[in-house]
Amino acid sequence: MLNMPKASSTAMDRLVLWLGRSPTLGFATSRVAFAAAASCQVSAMFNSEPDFAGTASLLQAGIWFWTVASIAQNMLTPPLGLLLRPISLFIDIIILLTVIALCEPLQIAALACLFFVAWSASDRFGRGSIIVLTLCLVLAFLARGYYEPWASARHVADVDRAIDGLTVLIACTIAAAMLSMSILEKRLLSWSERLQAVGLSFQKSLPRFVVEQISDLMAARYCALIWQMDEGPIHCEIIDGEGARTISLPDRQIESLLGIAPREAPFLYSSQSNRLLLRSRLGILRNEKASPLIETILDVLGPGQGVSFHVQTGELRGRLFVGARHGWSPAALLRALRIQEGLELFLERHFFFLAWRDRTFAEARQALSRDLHDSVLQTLAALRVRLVTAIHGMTAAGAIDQLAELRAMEELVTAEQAHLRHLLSASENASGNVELGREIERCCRFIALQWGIECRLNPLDHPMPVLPETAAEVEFLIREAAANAAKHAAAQHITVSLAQADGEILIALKDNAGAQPITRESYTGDFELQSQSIMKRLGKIGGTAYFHNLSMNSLISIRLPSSLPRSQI
Amino acid sequence: MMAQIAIVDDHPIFLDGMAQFLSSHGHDVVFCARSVDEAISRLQAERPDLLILDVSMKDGGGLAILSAIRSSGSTVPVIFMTVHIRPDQTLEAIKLGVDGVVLKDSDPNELLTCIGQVLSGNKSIAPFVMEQALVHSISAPANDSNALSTLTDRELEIAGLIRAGLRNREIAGRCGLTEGTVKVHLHSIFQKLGIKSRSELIIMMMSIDSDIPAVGLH
Repeated sequence: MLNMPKASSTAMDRLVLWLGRSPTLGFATSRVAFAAAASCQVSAMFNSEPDFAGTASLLQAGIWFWTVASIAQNMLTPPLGLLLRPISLFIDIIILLTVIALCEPLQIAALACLFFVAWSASDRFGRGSIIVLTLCLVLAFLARGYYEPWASARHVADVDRAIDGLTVLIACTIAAAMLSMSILEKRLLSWSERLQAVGLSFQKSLPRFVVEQISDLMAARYCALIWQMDEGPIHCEIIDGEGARTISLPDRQIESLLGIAPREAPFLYSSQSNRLLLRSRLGILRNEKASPLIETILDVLGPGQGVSFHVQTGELRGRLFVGARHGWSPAALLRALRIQEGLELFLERHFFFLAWRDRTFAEARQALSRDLHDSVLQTLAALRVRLVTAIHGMTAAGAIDQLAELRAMEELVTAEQAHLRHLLSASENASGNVELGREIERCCRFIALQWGIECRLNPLDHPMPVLPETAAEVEFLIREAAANAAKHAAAQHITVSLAQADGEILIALKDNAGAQPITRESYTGDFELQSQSIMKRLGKIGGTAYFHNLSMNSLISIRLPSSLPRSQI
Repeated sequence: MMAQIAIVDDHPIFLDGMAQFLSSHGHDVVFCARSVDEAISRLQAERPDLLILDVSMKDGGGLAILSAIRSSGSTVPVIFMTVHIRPDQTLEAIKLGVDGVVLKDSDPNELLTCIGQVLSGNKSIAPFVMEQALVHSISAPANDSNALSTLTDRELEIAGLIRAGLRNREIAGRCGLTEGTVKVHLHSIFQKLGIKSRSELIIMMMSIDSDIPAVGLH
């Protein structure tokens, strides 16, 4: 089994990866640092001006209120969060650009804070927003120096040092976020590449393998895959704190979990909100009310946030629900999209290998079967040629007594050749039903020739069309039972009767013994047949066989289903 | 009509039986060979009136021997005696100038009849074998290549790109289409070819000696 690397779940790892997964943590950290720096700067500017003490307090309160509000809005659920995010980002940009233009000591800190604002804007509005932000930044830098350098004139060394320290903190947060982004990107790429290399090499079911891999990658609380193969039954594979298992869900819940439109778009959900966050086809974020779905998720998977995406490859159709802490960050949607692509690529490759392997095996089986049949036909042909030669020689030598036996043997070989040829052409010409009565009549003639006994089929009232596989099974059972009767019960006359009722084929073989003493090795009583070969064969196809000891003869009754699975060869 | 006959077959019991059978019916078995190489080397030294060859042997079987002796300019009559011969092998054998084909599971006396006819200068090919060859030659079997001919140019282009391992998004970029349009084309391809997945499409295309250019590989 291939061991895939597990995502570490230590607290530090989670913290670092959170920085790279979405801008929320970096945004909050930088904002608090900036607020602290701004408060210090306000204090430094207004400490020497008693008239402005109230203004300074008001300004500081405003700074902290703005900080708390901008952090809190990241936690708001749709639709309010979706509505307030652009407004909040707009206010952030105005404030930070104003600080750059007016307050020289805070310029670098504000510039650093803009990094997370730009990231959030890019998440929310796309990469075009970065260009707009850059233009605004250019204008802000051009505007510097046109106003009274009030802040610059009131330098306090301690405050400058504090601001520098906080600026470094913001810069470190940026560096950590970028490093974390890089780690996440590499981890995703490595996961995807390793997954592609797996092919067929995992010793567990495909759904279980998928949920384990996704769960590891996303460090998820749970990961559930609702899946269906080729319009077959729907299953649910889940992995959580209790381990991996298959659970059965009521139809109503399955319908709710799978019947989501639009199907292709990944979405974020939370048990605290009845809305989903997703992107439209144009890439615009939107939210949709989906109370029944959220209720079902809560019932099946429990409370908390999560991301869901659809998987469809070949005959597999399904949806994954991954319980992961992501906030309402649109970055989680993009990440889900990439995981979805990697997973679909893996599944395509997996199904390709599977189809290729099946095809190769089928070809190998066919080649083996062809070789086997060729070999048997060759041997029969050789036997027949030798018999014909012997018959020719004996006819010439006038050994008439032994001719009949040789001719019977030649007839037997000819019958076997014809039967084998018939079987081969039937398997080549595929699929239709065969008439069971005709097949068994031929089989009875063969048994009669083979054992030198009388063997006949009781006439059937109506035709019995069955699959070739079923006919072959019936023929095998009759041959085996007749061979037992001829060998062990010294039967001289065998009568075969066939009937079909309630999806089952009933076979009865009645034999009467010859003059020889009867050795009943295979038959021990009036109940279940003791023939190993017959019982083993019937066990595989769900049939039964019984032996009945009658006064002058014996009766074997066999029952087997009419429809047997079609052979792979 | 007596003849000096050489038999080539890799099945020893059949080979011995056939030699005995022919000898008992008045023919002279010049040699028995069990491989293509042995047969060709023996034929350089001996000149039988008739060759009886098995088709299914290693190193090309009867067809290889027939091809070799016809290339050397020999016109010795040849009868194929085989368990199974594919229609395309029959056609190939006829092109190479085989004189008779007999199935091994037919009555051995049919071989004697065939030998007589061939030695009289006639052709004698088992009706069943001839019928299969005729059917094969006049009706092109419905295969994957035919199925591909039902695809439009655009669908063929997309199928070629899928064969090259491209994703829908990449195909869309390369063909100047939207991803949705590619999916619609893909759905149509699956329907026309009666398949359900990209994997099946790739396998189908890989198994065809197709004229479709390997787009996307450059």
